[in-house]
Amino acid sequence: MDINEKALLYRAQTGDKAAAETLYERYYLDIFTYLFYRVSDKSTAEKFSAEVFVRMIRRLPQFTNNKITFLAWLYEIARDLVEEKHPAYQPELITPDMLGSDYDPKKQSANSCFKLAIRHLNNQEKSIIVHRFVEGKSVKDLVKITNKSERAIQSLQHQALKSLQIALERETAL
Amino acid sequence: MMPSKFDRILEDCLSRMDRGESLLDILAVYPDLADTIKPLLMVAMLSRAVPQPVPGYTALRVGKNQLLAEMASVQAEGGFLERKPVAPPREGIVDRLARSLKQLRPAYRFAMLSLVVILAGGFFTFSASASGLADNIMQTLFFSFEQVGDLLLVKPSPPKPMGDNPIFSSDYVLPDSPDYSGDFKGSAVVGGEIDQGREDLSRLETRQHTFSGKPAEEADPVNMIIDDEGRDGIDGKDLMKEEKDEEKAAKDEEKILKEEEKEEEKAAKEEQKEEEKAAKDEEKYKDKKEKKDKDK
Repeated sequence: MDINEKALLYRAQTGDKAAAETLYERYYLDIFTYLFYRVSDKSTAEKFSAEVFVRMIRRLPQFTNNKITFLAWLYEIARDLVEEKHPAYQPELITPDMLGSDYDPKKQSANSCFKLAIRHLNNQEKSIIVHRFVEGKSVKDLVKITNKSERAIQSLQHQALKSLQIALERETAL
Repeated sequence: MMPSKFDRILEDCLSRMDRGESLLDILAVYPDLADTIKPLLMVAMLSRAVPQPVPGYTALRVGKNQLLAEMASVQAEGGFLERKPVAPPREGIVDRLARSLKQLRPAYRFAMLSLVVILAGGFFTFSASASGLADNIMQTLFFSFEQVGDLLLVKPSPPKPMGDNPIFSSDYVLPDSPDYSGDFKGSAVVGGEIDQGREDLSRLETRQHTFSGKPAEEADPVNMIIDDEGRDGIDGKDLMKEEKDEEKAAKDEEKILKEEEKEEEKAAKEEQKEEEKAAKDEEKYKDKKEKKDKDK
């Protein structure tokens, strides 16, 4: 965590609205992407993202950056929210409006297959695939986010890719 | 292959993919594992090709408004941390000195700086001498005191003159001159042991001093101590006391031994007397018996 972010957090913790807005703008996309692939629904992901930041404001005075990074803390809030609101979430079939505004019909089959296949992964594998490949984060970033060792992340990544491969084969066969 | 090793290879392949290397190039690096790695890399490529979802602008605005509304309610409850006033940086000693120097008149300022230079010079001279005589602490201390004295321009008090009194004692310092002639009475202590053979010398010669003259019998005896390195010093009275004490102790021991011998002799004599008495009694008893037998 750099000095600017620490200062920003401190300002937000003391009730500075501008600092809280900056944090929101900086991390909204990360949280939204994560939630989108967890719930597979754009509008639900938007609703949950807003809720994550509301919860962030409530819990912000208690946040200390000794154990985890701020982004990892936000992911924790998002994960808890999904588990709380959708304990047994079973998404419906993917529809074009679920795939975002820049949806390309030419890539429809591949994207649809991916979105269908990712549902078969467990939460940990899903998170790894989303952070590492969809969001393009590095293994070092994932170490910070998940609080796991580099070796554990590499192992999880291997496992997640294998599971996704099996899930994709199943989806295309169907 | 160990799973951890394969995980590392897979990570290497993914990093290469991030750097823009083609799939064929990457697989050429690990030809033995190409069949295993290829489907995983294909899945990774597909995952990367998936477009990132884009949130709607309205949702973004609504979310921000909700956040600000929540902030206002938390603020009303007094839930945020209190902002601590930022303390001004503390002024260091150097800053304080510099500020006070600036406030002084130029003449005083110059005097202060000169004093600092003199003290610093003295310190460096002292440290240089200390490092030069690291083996001898007393010498180092002596030099340092001398230098401090020189710095403060105070002359050390002159040693007490020997005067007409030719006797060395601990009250007197050694003469400045390495050679001294006159009447004296002394002995030498070399390497911690008294050299009895050199008692009442007419000439005492050490590395630093030479004493020559006639030994004065009436003079109190004073000892010259010469250490292993040949340096000399005077410690008369203490040494004489020690000698006297030792003599007294030796005499006491002799007395005790004599008393013990006397007691042993007395005891032996008493034993002899008792034996003699017992022998006489036996003889008397025998004589009496013989007489009685004869009478019968």
